[in-house]
Amino acid sequence: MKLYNADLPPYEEDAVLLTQYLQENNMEALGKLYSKHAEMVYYVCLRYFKEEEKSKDAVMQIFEELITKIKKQDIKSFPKWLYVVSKNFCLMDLRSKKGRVEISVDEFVEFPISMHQEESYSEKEGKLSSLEQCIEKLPEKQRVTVDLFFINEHCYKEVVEITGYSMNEVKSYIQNGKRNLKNCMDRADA
Amino acid sequence: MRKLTFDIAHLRKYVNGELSSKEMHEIERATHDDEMLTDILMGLEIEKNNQSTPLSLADISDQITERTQQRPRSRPLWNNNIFKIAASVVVLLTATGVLFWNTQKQETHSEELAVNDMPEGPIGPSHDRIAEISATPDSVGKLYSEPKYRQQDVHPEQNRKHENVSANLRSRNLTEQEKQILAYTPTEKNIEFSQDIAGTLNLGHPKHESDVIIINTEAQDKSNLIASSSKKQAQPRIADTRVSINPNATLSAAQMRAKLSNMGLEPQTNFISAQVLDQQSKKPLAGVEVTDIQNDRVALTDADGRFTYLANNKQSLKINAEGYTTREIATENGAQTILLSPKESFLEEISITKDSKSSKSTPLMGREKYMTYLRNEINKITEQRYAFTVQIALSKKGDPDTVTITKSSDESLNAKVIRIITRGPHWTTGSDWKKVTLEISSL
Repeated sequence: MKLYNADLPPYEEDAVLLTQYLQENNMEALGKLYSKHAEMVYYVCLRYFKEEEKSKDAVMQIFEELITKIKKQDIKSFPKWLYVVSKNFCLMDLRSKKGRVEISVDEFVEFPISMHQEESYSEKEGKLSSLEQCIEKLPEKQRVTVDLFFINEHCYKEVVEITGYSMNEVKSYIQNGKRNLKNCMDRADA
Repeated sequence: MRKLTFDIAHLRKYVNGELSSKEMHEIERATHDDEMLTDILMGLEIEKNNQSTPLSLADISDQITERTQQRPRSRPLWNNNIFKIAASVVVLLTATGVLFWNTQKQETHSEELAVNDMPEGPIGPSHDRIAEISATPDSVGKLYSEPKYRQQDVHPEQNRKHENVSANLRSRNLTEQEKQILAYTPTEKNIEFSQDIAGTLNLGHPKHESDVIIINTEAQDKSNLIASSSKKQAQPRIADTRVSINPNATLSAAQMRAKLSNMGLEPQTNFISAQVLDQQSKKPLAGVEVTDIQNDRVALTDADGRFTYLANNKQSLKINAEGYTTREIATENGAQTILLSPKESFLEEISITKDSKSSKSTPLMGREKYMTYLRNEINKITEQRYAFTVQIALSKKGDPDTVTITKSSDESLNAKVIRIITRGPHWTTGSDWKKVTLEISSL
């Protein structure tokens, strides 16, 4: 592999492309950067709009927004930032037609409750015993699914097969179980 | 917590049930902490349920490439606007002048009387006069010929705006109406021109903020010139003229709420309407980005420097304009004026750096960020501890052109490190631009 040839289709990183655009107003760099993530943007739009053509249009509309927006903000993680911009774009669009579309937030899984899930190993150890106690207190269906999913690391499909519950039931038991567990743990902390 | 990243192809396999249980669990587990992943998966599931063909990435890339090859849209400059506005002032004044000329001839006699009733002694270029003048085009000549009125401390600087207007006109033969307008225009100082999006032209005077002349370009009837004065309570003599207060006067909170309810929004929504002005010149700033700090939503100011924003709770907004210091404001209900003060000239700073002989080259993004960038990149290619000493020769533009590694903890990584630097961010060149030494080591 020739590493020094500047003409090579480069392994260009987000940060590099981003600085190229910010410092030299290099539209091509922004285009490359966006192309890398356009698929992600498309599927996020599709999740909200549920229409392919509208989502494709949205991908280009978001790119237009990006051209100016990107200069005004200190972006640490481009994909994360782009995701927020895309999602806001979709929500704003849907809100403008409020009353016609309902977005379910429960279709897949619950959004993360805590943004600070990074914990030190020792803290985790300390909590393990109270976690076990809390799991024991869960209603039967939640206890079984949580145990299978989080502890035994089975995927949803396997949990369905093992328990005989439907896919939606499994997802909802795991969600509710997780929420109950969190509440139980918070009480144990207090 | 383990951070996982998945590519779309992998996620599509998940949706199609082509992954092993372990891989599936891995993704499912990650969705519990990653909203973005959840959304993408749901998008993929919709695609599968709609049985639509997968997105053609090539199509999207083509569109993006096409867009990037267009010339960037240039920002409108205030200076250009001045001329545009000045030109429209002249055109509009001419048009209205013609209208008055034609419609008010019969009434001229009584109008002249009113002008003659004016007190003697020092006559300032006040707005009362404008009201009179505009109502009685026939009498303009008289006013103009009064030396006191013309001589009233006219500063050349203050009049520059109007000279521009008149200079444009003198380059061709003037119509009678244009001469009439020119007859009084240069004597009136400090008139501020502004034009809103609807095309309404406002002429105002800083000392008489409530006095404005509004010329509506969307001519609904033939007398569009509106003159007003709070000082004199001048009643319009022409049936079609109406006395108006400044249209820029802000709406009351109650009025805004009424507007809001029309838009079908929740009552607890805060409705902010504000105008962004230059602190010194008090000129409106167009295209200023107003960012909601909490959710990154952005609103832009219009040509009048105005923006409106709907906030769901007590948030603050960041006002960010190129060349101005960034400000944060609270989203209070109602109207406010935001003044931005210009930043110290950025260009000057650069020239100072370049002038001093002993300056050092620095990465454009700042040294600390640059080092973080380098470490992040190197961490991707090795898990070992490392230490490199490199010499970088920058191009005059600040590209890290040639990189030599003088000390290396792992020679097999040299090529990659060189690549990271040469492909990396640009530098500002100092006196040492031909030979910048850099030490990079793992933390």
